[in-house]
Amino acid sequence: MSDPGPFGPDTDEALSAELDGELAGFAAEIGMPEEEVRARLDAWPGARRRRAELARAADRVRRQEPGDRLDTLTLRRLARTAAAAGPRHRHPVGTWAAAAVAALLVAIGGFGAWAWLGNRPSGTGDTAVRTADPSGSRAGVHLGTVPDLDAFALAVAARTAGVADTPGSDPAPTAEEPAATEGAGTLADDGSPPTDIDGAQPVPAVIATCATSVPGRLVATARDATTARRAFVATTARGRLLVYVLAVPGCRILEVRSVAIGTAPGPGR
Amino acid sequence: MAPAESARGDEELAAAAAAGDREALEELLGRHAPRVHRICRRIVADPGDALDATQEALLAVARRIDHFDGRCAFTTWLYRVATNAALDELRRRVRRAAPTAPETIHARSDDDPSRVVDHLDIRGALSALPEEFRVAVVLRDLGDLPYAEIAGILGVPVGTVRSRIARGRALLAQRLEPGNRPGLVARPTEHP
Repeated sequence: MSDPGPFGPDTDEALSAELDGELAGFAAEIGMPEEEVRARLDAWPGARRRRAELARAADRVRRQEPGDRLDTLTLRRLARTAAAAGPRHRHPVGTWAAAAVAALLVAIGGFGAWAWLGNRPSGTGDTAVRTADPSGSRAGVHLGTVPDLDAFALAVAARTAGVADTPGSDPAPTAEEPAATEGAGTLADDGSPPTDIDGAQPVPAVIATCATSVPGRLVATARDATTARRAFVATTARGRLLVYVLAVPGCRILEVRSVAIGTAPGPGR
Repeated sequence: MAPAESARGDEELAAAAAAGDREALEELLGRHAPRVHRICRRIVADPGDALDATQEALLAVARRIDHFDGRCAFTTWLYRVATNAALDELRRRVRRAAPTAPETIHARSDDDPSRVVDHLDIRGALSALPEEFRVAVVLRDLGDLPYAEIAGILGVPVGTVRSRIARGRALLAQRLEPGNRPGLVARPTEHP
């Protein structure tokens, strides 16, 4: 553009503000009546062309593009997952401290349980069930029973970090690795009949069905012994886990936590 | 079956959600999730990261809905949260230094092929903008926010917002106008 316009290098700013109905602010800043600014712009031969170029740029940003669309189910699941988190009510510091200590204690127990379960031989009817992601691209590992969600998140985070430090060990079997089926339908660690809400349904199918309805990649599942609900973890952004607690029938999300891999989940974000 | 959307306004739903009405919260989030996703898509280049940012934004809204005090429009508050989530995602991406995943565009059969090319152009052009220009342009042109509200979200003076939007648009125009697109060569019109 050889002719810089009536306001020199600020001409674009004036035209852009005019497009947005914000010319008054520009005029005030340069100490000129808005009408005079407008008149100067209109008198400039290049105004019409430049206005159109800036307007087209704005329109392109505004326009709905094919890649913008998420399917309705995904959007609904995003909203439902977030709504499940609910408002985070503030608590006194003492409450948090107590919660942190409690979480640490149960985490130690949960990790111990995981370590024990993870080292048991397969095919013995225990709950070391590997769940297959129905997408076929990834799978998760069942961590057995954990006392609460924080322990579950911590166990997954610790396992993930441990795996990252230990080449060759792989907690998440790939699509090429057939999903193990031991324990399907027999969920209780001690061999007793399952008492939780999903009854005798095979864990992999049930959890996998739910996992397709939330964003992320299925990493691990567990049984929440305290509340008799199912929990699973899906990765989202690299370095972040979303921990879901589900009422399995209907895959209703009851609770969700977001934690960074390798760190203990705090008492809320 | 999708829950029927009520005729309640955003602020009313937000108040109900803050009081613990989960259905109201879900309706509110469902209503605005597409817009939040579009904003994240424009600010964050990688589609997977944009989806993560969308989830983080919606989670943040859900967790902090009781912090919304009604002093501004709900959408202004929402966009502030969405913008912060998208910028956080950008920061994480920089720290990870991960390559951008190749984008898959799920075009419908009735999509005009030229619009798919346009889409790639605008994504590339936006990605090439300095972050501060990109965010200002997105909040204005996609969020349809007045300059003063954008200034409030970004914590900068209104004049700075005006300047960033103008400079961002000018750069976009430079990249998007026919003949200026990288890889496209203007061909002379053929005459018989």
